[in-house]
Amino acid sequence: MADLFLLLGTGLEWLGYVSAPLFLVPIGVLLATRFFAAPATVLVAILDRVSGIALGGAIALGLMMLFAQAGVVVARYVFGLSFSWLSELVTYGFAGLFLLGAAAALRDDGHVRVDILRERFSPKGRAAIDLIGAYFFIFPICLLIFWAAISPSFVRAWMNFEGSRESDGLPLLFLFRTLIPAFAALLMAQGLSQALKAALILRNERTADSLYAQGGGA
Amino acid sequence: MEIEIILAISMFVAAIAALLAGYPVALTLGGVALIFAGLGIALGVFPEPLLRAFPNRIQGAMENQVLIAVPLFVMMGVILERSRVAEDLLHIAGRLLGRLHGGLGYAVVGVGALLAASTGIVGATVITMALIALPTMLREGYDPRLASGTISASGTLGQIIPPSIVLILLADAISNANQSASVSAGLGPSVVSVGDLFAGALVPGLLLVGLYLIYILYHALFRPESCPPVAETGAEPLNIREIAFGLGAPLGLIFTVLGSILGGIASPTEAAAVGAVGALLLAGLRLSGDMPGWIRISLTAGLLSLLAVFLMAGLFDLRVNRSDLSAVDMTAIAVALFLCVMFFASMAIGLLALSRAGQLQPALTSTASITSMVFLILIGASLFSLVFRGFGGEEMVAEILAATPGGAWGALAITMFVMFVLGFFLDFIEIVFVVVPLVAPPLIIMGFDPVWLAILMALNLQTSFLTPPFGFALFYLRGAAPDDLATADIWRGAIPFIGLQVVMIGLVAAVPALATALPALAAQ
Repeated sequence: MADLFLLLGTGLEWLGYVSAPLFLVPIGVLLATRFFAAPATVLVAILDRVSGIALGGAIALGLMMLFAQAGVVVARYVFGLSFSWLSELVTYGFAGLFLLGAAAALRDDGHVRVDILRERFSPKGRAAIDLIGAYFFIFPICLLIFWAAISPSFVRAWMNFEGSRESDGLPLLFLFRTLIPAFAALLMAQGLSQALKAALILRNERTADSLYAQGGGA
Repeated sequence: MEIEIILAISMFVAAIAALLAGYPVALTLGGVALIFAGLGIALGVFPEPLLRAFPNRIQGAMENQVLIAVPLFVMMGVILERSRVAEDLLHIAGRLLGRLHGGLGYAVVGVGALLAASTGIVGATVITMALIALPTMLREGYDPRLASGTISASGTLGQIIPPSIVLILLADAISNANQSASVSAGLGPSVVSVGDLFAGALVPGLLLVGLYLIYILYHALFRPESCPPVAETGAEPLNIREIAFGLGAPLGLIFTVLGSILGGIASPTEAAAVGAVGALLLAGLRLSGDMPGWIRISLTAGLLSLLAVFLMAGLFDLRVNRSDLSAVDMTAIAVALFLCVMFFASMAIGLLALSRAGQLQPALTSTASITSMVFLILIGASLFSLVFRGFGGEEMVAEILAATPGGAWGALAITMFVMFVLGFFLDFIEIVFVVVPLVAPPLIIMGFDPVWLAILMALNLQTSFLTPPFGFALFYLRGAAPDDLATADIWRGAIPFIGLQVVMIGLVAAVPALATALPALAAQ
């Protein structure tokens, strides 16, 4: 089993190296628009879809959190019982909700920003800011989280299928810890999608007001 | 000056400049911090291993049991908003009080105070009330300044009146600050809980509601033309059922949630879960008007079984883990178990009812979006604090506060002023995660009570959100108000309420017992 996961990990590592050039596509769109516009549009659709799937997971985990916490309350106040696995389901649901939902919130413009000056910028000005923000803010943050999260202790967690410290806890701590690099990878992918959209807008290959998907935010 | 200090200061300035570009705050804070950390590493003044610890910070947030209350309260608020329970509340209160001079004003203040759970982040209250109450108020001949001032001020009540989401986040930050203050000052351990902050905010919050109401009463008595009663519309009078359901059910829900936290019966997370489930069942009932009868029946049964099971827990000893179970106990446990199954089934039916009304997907997406937004700020801000700390910025802030003329009160005044100004362009959440960890420990060491300090900060920020030209509440109102309402009227309308806020801040500063007496009482 452990060998299989090592193989899987190596595969993912190579996938990472192979997909690294994708992060140059936004620049390609700026420099050689005619050549890159069509593949960039396809890539945007795929990446937005990935965030949508992760959002579905986040919502499912959020509902799990609600049901499990209701269960914790009933078990404790009515029957005087407590189960570590139930409380851990709440914690896992909670963490999954915000870590897996972050990318879709970026897609749907759900993250708060200071809009005092933003209102005065042109749509292209906003796109330029998003393009710069993706390269200088999102990518470095996500790379840091990703590299720091894939630590020797993280590898050990997968090798031993690290479980809860409680005897009646869930045997899934290794999955819980995997949420952190997954969050970084998803956010980075959506950052790439936003950078692509911004580059396409700057080159008139996309309508200027379509930087963000509609209707997802607060 | 040392190079670390220069870097720490330029990082703060650069972050503020970058924020003005309008890129998401969480990512800007984290990104700027990371760039400066890179500079620091290149110059050999930043300990690089500090960055490796960053995922542990994220894991700390994932495992934080207190913060689980946040998405549950968000869910409760979003569901109540989506199912128009909040709108009903405003309609009914408006019709009940509308015949009085100033009646619509009282209704807006009261509903604003009740909707605390659904706001504090997105200004949903201001928008809801601006869309529903403002047109009526203007049509009936309210002074536009009074109407807009009342709505924007009432919208900010959600920040201070429990169960406000930002108070939960503030409790987490203040409790950490208090811990580090006790450690570095060698004091004994003392804990600040969410319950303490809720209890501390209750009296100042309610007094604020009282001040708002008195201000409207003053208008009703001495300038009655500024807040006329609503003309008879000929609409059917409300029947008891509508009032009981539209007003009683949300009130009951909010009092249950708040009461169980303040009474020390349940943790905020547990109470929030009950609140979210209650909101789900109520919303299902509200939206199931033209759905098959079995949906309504099972939702009602679910609500009743929830009440019944807690009633039974009071009457019988339902604990399962004991050896002396009598036949009566066994029967009671079996009945309770059956009720619980019914209750969980009705939760699923509540989801079904929301989904049939087309509100489930938007409500859950919105919950995920708001929750991710809050916690991404936590992640970005904690990277910012990590780097700021790595440069020794923490000691610098403490030194500046210690060197402020006027001693502890001078330090407090300068902190409050800086927070007030930051409140113009940063949200409550960002200030809680970035500023509070820096300024609260030195202030607590100087001898200020942590709960009192937190309440003052909350009142201060609430005032900042009301203050032209940058106040958030005014922006939200401007966005949702009809165009013929002049922006100047919105701004002027806010000024008397800012005055009331200042009075309240002064009161709490002068009489700390307003904030500290109730938590102390609850602790006994």
